Amino acid sequence: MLGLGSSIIAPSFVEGVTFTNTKSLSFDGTNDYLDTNYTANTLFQGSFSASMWVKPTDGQGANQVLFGVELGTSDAFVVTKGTLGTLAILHYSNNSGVSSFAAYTTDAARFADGTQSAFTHVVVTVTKNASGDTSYAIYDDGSAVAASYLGSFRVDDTNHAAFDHGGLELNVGASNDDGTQDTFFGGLIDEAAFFTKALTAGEVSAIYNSGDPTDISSHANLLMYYRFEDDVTDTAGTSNGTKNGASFSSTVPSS
Amino acid sequence: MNKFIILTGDEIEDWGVENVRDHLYKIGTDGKGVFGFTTVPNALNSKTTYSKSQMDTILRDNTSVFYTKGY
Repeated sequence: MLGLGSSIIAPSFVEGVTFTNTKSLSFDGTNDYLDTNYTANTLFQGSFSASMWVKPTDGQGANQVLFGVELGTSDAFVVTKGTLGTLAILHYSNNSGVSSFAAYTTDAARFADGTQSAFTHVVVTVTKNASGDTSYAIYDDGSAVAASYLGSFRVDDTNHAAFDHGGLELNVGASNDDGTQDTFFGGLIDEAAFFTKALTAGEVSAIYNSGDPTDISSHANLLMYYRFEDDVTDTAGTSNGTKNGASFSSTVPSS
Repeated sequence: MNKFIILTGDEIEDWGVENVRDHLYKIGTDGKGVFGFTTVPNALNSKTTYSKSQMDTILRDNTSVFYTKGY
């Protein structure tokens, strides 16, 4: 009990933490990558999304993985910047041939060599449809872009739900290909986030925020969020990353 | 990678979808795929092979299903 003359120190209000973005993660395109230390089976067995700001280094002209994990070609999910500068999703699930494979690439080449003067906000959404085939969408600076499926190949809902990459960890800036990294990305990546839902067009637009990264730490279904502010901490969950050769850059996206 | 082959879905299925990952170059709006090789595998020897310059022409032709805006 407080006696006469005692005082109560009023709790100070915690100021709202101001969102700042001062660093991105730089990958050399040779052997740099981020290991999320997250085994992504659960994520890839349902609907999910990934959001990141990307600025490839010009002059590389090769297939490069933004993020991915592959158990052979039985269970794999990779998003690549293709040789032409298109974006591609490759999805293999449950090793069941033509009913467990899909490829989807953008029709235009947003990342063509010689044009990478600024960051592009990239979002990939994957929707596991009940009793149907999985569908995909690719967004570029807040808007869905035209893309095409390869043939009639699709991943059905049963095979989607049975995705099993054997405990491999999801990598950013390379593919974790059977435990060995390959198809390295060269350039900058910032504000990498993974969600346990297919983001809506409105949510993607809000995250893009007219070209200025904004605080998404309280976004619904946010699973992992790597801000790369001089660390590779997962600020949303517990999957703190391990940086393998990548370095921090002061070049960041802004409108 | 300087040799390119265009395959339909059925041809891809015969070849094996496991090969797509390493060779996919572009998907056309009709669902056909362009695949790139340094050496064309024997299984695809009967297909028409395009050179890099021939494929670039196709990719830059805005009437082609493989037209790639920005390339």
